[in-house]
Amino acid sequence: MFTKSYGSLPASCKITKPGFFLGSHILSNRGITTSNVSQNSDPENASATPAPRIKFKRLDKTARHIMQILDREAVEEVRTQREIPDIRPGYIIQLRLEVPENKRRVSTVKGIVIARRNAGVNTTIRLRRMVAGVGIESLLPLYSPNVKEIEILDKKKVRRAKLYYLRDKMNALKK
Amino acid sequence: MIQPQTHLNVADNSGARELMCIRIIGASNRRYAHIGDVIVVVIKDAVPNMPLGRSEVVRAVIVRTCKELKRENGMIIRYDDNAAVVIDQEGNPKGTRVFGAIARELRQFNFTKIVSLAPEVL
Repeated sequence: MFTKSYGSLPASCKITKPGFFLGSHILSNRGITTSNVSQNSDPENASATPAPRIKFKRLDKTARHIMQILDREAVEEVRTQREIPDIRPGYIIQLRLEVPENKRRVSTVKGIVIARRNAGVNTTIRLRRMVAGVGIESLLPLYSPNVKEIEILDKKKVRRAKLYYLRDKMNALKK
Repeated sequence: MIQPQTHLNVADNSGARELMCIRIIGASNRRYAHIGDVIVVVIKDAVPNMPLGRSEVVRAVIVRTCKELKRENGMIIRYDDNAAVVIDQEGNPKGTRVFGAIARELRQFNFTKIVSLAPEVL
């Protein structure tokens, strides 16, 4: 009983009693030297290292959070198509948006991220920038197919998740 | 969401500096005006020696609002101020230059001249 369990323990496992340390050292070496030994010992030690099982919830439990599952799948699908970096408030970002009306790319939407709202596939970021002397805030869906490329230019240190105080600071038209 | 008594900046060089909304053109008893709506304004402050003077009643089209403008692709645009461009009865701007960024929606409202004069179309 003892020998079986020690043969399958990984080397990083803590063993409290010093007396057993020598025995396990020998037995783990024996497991490492030939791969056949470890494979033969596996069916015997089904309790210690079972084959990985895929767990399924009861179908009615799955149905309750099916929307969460679908959302996660949609996000994974978008992530495999495009590379979307991790964007946090305080980052200065340059985006390339596609404008369907012009059939052209409007490049360089460049601004500072002042907020990020996580909602699965509808995760949105708020960008603040100065355009032609006017401050403009845009709210963009992060996983939108119109967003072609995102590039992080700079990272500013902020101590907030939502930087709405910048509306008073960066306002050119404020009297 | 511009309503009567709202002060607006002026986004062109027609001579006015500040406008006050007195009426929204459209349906009767219409409460708020958004980007692309025509309003009747009175000029509260004007640049001296220009064709438009103080306390003149003119029409204007709203080009920037602090209230968000929503688009169908999920994008939302919010400006930092409220601004309008002075127009005449047909919809042509009275000034010759337009300042600031103009939203693309004005083209659908048939203000193509304003959109073409804009330094940047969002």
